[in-house]
Amino acid sequence: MKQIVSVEYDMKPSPAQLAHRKELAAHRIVGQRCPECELIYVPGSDYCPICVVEIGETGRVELAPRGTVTTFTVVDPVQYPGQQEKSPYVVAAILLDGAGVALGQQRLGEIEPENARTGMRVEVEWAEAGAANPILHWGPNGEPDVPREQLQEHIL
Amino acid sequence: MRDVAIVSFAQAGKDQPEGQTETAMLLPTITQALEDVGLTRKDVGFTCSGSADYLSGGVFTFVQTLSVAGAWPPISESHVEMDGAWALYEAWVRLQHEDVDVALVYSSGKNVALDFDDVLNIQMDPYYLMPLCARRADLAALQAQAFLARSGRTENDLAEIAARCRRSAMGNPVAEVSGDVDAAELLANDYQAPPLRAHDCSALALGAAAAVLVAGERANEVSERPAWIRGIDHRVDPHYPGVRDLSVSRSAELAAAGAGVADAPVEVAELCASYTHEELLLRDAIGLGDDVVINPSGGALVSNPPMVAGLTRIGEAFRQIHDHGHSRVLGHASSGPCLQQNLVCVLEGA
Repeated sequence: MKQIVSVEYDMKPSPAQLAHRKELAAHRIVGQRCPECELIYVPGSDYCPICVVEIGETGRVELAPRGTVTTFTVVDPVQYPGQQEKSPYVVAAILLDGAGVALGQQRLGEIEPENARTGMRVEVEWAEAGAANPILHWGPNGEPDVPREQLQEHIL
Repeated sequence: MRDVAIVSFAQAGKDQPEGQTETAMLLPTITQALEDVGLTRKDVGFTCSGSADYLSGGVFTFVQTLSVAGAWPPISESHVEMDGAWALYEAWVRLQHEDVDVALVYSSGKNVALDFDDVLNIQMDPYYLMPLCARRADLAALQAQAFLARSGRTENDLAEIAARCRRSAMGNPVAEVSGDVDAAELLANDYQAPPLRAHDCSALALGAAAAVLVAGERANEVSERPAWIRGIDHRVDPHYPGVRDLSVSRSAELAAAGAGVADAPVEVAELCASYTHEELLLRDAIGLGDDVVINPSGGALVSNPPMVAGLTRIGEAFRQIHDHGHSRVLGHASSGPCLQQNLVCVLEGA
């Protein structure tokens, strides 16, 4: 007997996610600095999971849209019906300058997948106004790579 | 057995911003539960939580919530895909090992973003019941009919319970419904699933709660009036409601016996009745006389946050000892269709 069971969810972004998206839409990347350990989370979730303290308005800190690839993966898209991606692309975790944790699931652009490297320095390329994701992608900014040893505490 | 007491209980407020996460509700709640007895997250030797990821719709939400339990450096913890009352049971068992003295128990649940009936349908057996897509109230109504037929109770009795719970709830800050109504007024409303009307069904809510358990003499050091767990037991009826006599609750009866309810008089009972008839059915099963005060908080009927309502009953029972000076009370939790699973916890002030 074939039977389909489904549960539908109507997900709403959390207050912290909403605030982050609002800033991104204005082309600002705002992190949250823990008042105790001073680690900067981006995006923040209104608390520090290490110190377990809430991070309020005063902890908000704008970060330059610039950082270092800490790890990446190359996606080779299978051409199933509806697939929008046509050729291999790179998804990376990027440690923004000053941030304590990497920003995950970021698209790298302006680069062939075989040239992606851990330690590569990148800068944001903003999407056109009105795009669903304000970040189009991150591209190499020409600065020398960061040595891998400096990234070992910040892989994800 | 080692003496273990509940020394603290806290719950999140009911007014939460849209999209609020379980994690964000839990952070201040856990902090308060610990601060009320002068403890910090560092003092906790074992942490146990109860929740269901189907409610948040997020994968491993229960792991996220651990981040507000203070999980760095790594801690000893466990999770049950159950109401927090069962997490409290596990914490009580864990404290019997005698190597740790303080346990943190918490649970959280949301009723937003989804159709709760859809989610609960998934827990049914996949061959005979799930395809029927019975709503919670439909199944409860079957039990209500069976109970009314056996006991001779009436829909008016049920409405009286709803009215009493709403009146009691007027002092409960997390109550979704409260007020001074009379039974006749409620009976004028349409059926939701005969014999149940809207007032017979609990008000779903979102919520979070935390309790602190401390073993031995240390409980007296952190609290002026700990609520000692004198008996705690949980039992389960068969999964398929069709093989049970729905007019009684054998599992609640066994849990009450296991928890030693009948050993001495009980002054107050907080029963996790999601429907009015469940309160009467549970009174019979647990063996509570007419002199026992039932659900002074308004019970689960006035605020039913999934996965939290049972732990909240035990928390309210704790308050009856700690805040109101009673000496022997009980908290009850339930889970599954038609009171399938029942947990009874007897608390004493000395």
